[in-house]
Amino acid sequence: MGETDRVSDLERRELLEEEVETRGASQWQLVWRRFKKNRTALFGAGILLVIVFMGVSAPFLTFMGVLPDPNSTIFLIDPPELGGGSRALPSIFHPLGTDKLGRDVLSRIFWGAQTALIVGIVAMLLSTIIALAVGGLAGYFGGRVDAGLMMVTDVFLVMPVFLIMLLMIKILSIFVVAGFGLWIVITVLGIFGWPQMARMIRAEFFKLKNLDYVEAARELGASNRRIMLRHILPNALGPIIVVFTLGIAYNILAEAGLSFLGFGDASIPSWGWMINMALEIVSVQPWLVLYPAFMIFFTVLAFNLMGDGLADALDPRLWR
Amino acid sequence: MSKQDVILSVTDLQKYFTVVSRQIIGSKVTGKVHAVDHVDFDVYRGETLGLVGESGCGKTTTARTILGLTPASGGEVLYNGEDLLQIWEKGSKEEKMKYRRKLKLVFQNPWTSLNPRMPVKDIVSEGFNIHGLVEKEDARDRLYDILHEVGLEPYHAERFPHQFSGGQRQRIVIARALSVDPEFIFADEPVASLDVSIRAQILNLMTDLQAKKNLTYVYISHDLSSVRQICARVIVMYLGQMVEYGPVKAIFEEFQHHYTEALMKAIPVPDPDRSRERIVLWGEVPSTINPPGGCRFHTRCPAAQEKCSKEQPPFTKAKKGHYFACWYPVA
Repeated sequence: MGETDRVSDLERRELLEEEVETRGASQWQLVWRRFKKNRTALFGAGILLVIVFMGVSAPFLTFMGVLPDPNSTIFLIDPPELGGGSRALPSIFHPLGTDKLGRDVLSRIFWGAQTALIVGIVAMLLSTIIALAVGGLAGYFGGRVDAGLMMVTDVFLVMPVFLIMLLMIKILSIFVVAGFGLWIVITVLGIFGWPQMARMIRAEFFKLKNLDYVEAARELGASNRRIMLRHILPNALGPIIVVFTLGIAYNILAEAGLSFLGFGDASIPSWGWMINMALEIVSVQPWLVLYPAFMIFFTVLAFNLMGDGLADALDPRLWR
Repeated sequence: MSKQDVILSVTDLQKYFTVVSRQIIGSKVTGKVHAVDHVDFDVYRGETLGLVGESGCGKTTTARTILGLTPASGGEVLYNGEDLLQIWEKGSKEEKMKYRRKLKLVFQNPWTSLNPRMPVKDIVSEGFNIHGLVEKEDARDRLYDILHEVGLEPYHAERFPHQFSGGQRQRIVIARALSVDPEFIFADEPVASLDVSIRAQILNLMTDLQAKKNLTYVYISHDLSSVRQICARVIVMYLGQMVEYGPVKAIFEEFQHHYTEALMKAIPVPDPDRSRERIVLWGEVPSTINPPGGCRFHTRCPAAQEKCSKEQPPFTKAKKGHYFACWYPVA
């Protein structure tokens, strides 16, 4: 330490700046290093990248004229040699053909990716906010707060959620202007998607609140809010991210299911809705069902693979 | 001794944990753990008081109760004349914060007491930020000063706890405690989880800081050699009660209580050829849920007689400042 004493303030600053550039890996870098080694997880991430690209590029491709408008039925009046008409076979004008109303299927698949991602992610964000509030407060404060909040959670867990969602969508559709149907679906999925995550967060907060460093923060005089947000939440983030990823997959499936049953928003291209429409003619043109079905399959698969990979990568016991 | 300035005065401190069994509706109290049972002691300003005893004897609980991390069951704790237990129970936020700042705890295990997701700069500056002790533009200088005081370099500030060795981590723990300018530090086995080679460094750091900042320490440990090295006075605890206290020399050389004797004779001597007389205690430490009556040590004491199991021995003066609670003392 004798040397330390001779280092002037200026030198210390310089040392600091040097060190910032060469400093060791942060926790998230370690997570990424582990994630990279997991091939199936990378495969999932790869698929996901393609789907995200499809969803993000859909509006641009349509705007530039590469893809036709997914809702346009104008191709119905195109002559068959231009690939037009209803239920047209694949052609250079419509690589995947057209559907019953003469709309371009490829375009609808691209736009459907966007719908699926928006529904999956936004609804899951909503669920996560509710789950964090309920699970976090229950786990941190315990006692009566815990008992009360967990009772509410249990009520949600035992309800026949899907049927109630159908009912709520029908009721809400009366009050909402046309074109916002998708947001009803998102809201309803979000409102019913939180209980499992809330239980997980509660358990996590319950575990973390008794750790030494949380006690140390309390002993330092930190407020409950500060302890929850700065000391407990960052350390609970791992499992939350995993459940979040898996929840997105569930929401995409649920939206497809709702659309399939006719409870989605017909004005927005959705894979579930495409299956619904194609099912009527499945005996004539089965591939119209297969395109969206494959997309749903791969999207859900991708999120699940990634979720599993993240679960391993985020587990510090597996770090080297 | 008695003319010195008393900074902390603990009188009849008690802490019981209730043992609860859950019923179908509600719950029932089925017993209580006597974690801290009628403990009295004074701490003088600027001294280092040792608190020794085996695991589970209530050393840590005593500290946690005084610090308000767990509510006391009874007794009185005066810090500079202010009743701390009252403040923890129903004081205003300002009062609580004031004493949160003045009394600090240095945690035992540096592997678990640092938030793994926080860089050192946040861990160390959290204290003075919460208490609003420095202006924003001075925060960085203050951080470097504190790191410097505990022997860390400024570039360590950007790192995360898992990038440090045990000794460095304990320096960070000490830095966190020092960040709010405390007067009084409970050091809860600060070196117990460190390598022997690192222990001396940390203990020297602590004594240097004590001299520089006029700190008062309560040093909790079962490592008797380190107690002898840094403490002026020692309290020996057994099963939630004090059994003997006095100046360090008296406790180590003129012990009167048989439990203290057993502890002292268990200290390893770094000489393979020297044989030593050891007192092997038989049996287990009795449960603190239903502690034995009379002298709590009588179930394991080599000198126990009938009286020991019936009446609790009062504190007897051996010499100035040295007291013990035993009917049939060693010498």
